[in-house]
Amino acid sequence: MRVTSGMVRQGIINNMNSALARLQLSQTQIATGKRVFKPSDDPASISRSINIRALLADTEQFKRNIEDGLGWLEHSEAAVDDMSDIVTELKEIAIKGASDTIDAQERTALGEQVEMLIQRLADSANTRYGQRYVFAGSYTLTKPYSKSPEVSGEAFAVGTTGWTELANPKLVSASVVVRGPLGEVRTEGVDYEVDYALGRIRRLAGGGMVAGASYSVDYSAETTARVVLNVPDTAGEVNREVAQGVRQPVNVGGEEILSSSVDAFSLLVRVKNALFRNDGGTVNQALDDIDAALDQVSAGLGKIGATSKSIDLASARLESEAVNLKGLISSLEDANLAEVAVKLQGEQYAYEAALAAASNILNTSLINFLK
Amino acid sequence: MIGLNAGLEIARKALSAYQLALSVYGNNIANVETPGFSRRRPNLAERQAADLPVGRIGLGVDVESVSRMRDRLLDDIYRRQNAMSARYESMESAFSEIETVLGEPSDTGLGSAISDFWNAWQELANQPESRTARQVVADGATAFSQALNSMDARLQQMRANLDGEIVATVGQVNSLAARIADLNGAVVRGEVTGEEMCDVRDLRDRLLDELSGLVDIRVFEREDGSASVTMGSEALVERTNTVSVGLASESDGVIAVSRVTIGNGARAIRPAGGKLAGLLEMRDDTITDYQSRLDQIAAAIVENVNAAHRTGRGLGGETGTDFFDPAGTTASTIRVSGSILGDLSLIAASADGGPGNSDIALEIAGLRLSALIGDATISDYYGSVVGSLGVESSRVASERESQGLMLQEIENRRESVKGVSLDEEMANIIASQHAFEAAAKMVSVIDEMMSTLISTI
Repeated sequence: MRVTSGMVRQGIINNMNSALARLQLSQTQIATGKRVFKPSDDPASISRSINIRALLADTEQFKRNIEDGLGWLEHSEAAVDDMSDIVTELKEIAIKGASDTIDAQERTALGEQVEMLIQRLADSANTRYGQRYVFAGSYTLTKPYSKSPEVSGEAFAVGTTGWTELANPKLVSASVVVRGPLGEVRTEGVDYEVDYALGRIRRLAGGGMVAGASYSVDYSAETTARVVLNVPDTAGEVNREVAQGVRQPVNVGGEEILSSSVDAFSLLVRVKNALFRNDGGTVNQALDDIDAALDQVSAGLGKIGATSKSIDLASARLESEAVNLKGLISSLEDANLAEVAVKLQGEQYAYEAALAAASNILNTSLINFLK
Repeated sequence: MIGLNAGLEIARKALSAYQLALSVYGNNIANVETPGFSRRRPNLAERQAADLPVGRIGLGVDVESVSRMRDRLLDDIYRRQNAMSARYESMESAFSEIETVLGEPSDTGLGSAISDFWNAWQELANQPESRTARQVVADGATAFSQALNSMDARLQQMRANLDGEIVATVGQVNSLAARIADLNGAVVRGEVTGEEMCDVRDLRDRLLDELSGLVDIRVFEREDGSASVTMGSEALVERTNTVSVGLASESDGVIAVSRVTIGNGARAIRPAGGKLAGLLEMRDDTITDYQSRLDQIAAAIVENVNAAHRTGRGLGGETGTDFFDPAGTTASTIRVSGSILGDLSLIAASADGGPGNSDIALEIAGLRLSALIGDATISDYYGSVVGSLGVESSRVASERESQGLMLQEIENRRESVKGVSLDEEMANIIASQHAFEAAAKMVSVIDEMMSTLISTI
């Protein structure tokens, strides 16, 4: 084949260009530490790399979910721990209160202590994590429990003119309102009289109230008369996704801990009232219920502990999974520096050789040898 | 009988022949870098010999003609190859632009926007009551929608740019065809007398080469020296006439595109090779294909997220609301519903209305694991889109490279025929110089012989 100077020159330019292009690619790979810059750099692994990135993003998110779930569980656990202490204290008080060796005054003092326990139990049951009430089921923005001294519509069956005990003692003076069957308000001192300290009421002979008819009483007690639940229920689950498609409830409903078998708040109110009324027998009867309440709280504590442990494990697993995924992405996209450095060296030699050859060939011509 | 004068005449002929040959070689050297130049060769021929009793004695040398060194078959192969190579070249640059638009693999591409979108729902599931988490969802969804919007807009812009290039290319085709037709006239007129119009033919060949990069052409040379050019089955240049390639603007539903037509009847045609074919393929098939795949992602997310969202309840118990504007189910129109952006409490994370319940948020986040497009999850599908882009783009790139190498190879073979070799020309010059010197010497010898004769008188 006939070779012309143009062909030689074009060949040299092409070879230098491609040698330089290879050199530049290796140089970029070393400078950035990356091997894949665009999908066509490695079409075989790009889909995998995209999927692994999505998995990694999921994993990082699961870690954040678990962190939040653990915070939630820790707050719940501390609160349920308190509840367990409160019920244990109640038991101690109840054992004292049931004993025959103490008098009315001492029982009243114990009753005051129980009143404080009611406050503490309500506070625990209203524990918040951030802005959220942890025991309110899914109604996390509503304070689930509130104490009330008010009673309205307690039935009062008028029999003889003897005393009828109301549910609560220690009533706020002049707070009692009695209504008849038609809703008409009866007059205190004319129709009936009230023993505010002991929480008793009786019909006055000569008044307008009729034996056998049913009346309702509204009053305020000086201490807690009842604790009301402000949300429809506390069964709603608060879920965290802790692994691909795995939803873990991280809350325990207030009702599950406090009223699934025994209603702890009414139990406390009952014991407190019995103590105020110096009624050791009723206190004694409540002991079984107190044990049941303790079991109920302990069961909740156990459940929270188990959940914490299981998502703690999940978190450790995610940690190592994230490391693996990052390693995979790196192996798919990153340059092997040692390998590229060796390649770069070779390519540099090739380029220099191409330049040297070019300088020799381009300078050689028949003209050099003609005189 | 041959006289001394005849000897002088032979020497004179030789002097002028080698002088002419020298100027041809000199011209070759002068044009060594001229694109499209084919080397010329002086065709030397012995003059008609004189019939003498002793035999036929030559009467010197003539330059019979000057001709181009050119192989028409190689020209044909070159042009066919050039059309293929140019097609892949225009496709390669468009593909690498699509790759830039997708911007993968990175932590800022659509893949990350999709992950961020799902994770925002998980974040909301962690704190369904929180306004901040709701804002995160709104932001994540807006970022994701805008990523799709802007990708689609950039692809659309690419199509508009390609359309502009198509219009410009058609203009070039027409102007090249017109110039070739003109040169046909010059060749035909010039070659009536028999000599080859080397320079005009060189120019015409260069324009034909150029044209072959734009559209796939076939060239036939007629007896009168004019070149007929056809594009596919359509005649483009016939003697000094051209059939013009036209453009018909029409809307493809999104943007106005120019269809390529030919002749007075404006018949639509689709060139099979050359830059124009590559541009048309990218504008009408490839880019729209990627756009429709993005549309599928948008549609799947809008429909499924909305369906789940409608079953949930907002902070105020509102139900049946759409999260994405249900009217926007394409990559260009996807957007978060205006009422959601106006009132973030409408985001329905809760299944039962309790503000702490986040079952719907988890359900929506869980959609990332569901097969929403065929049997693929969104992330799988997107991965396959990027993967197939990578495969196609690298196929086109390697095709461009190998077609380019083949073109280079053919160009070498062509150059081997038509190219100027300085060494060769130098050698020719020296040979001609020596011949010239010898002829001059002969003049002086004959001169001496004549002097000798004259002095004896």
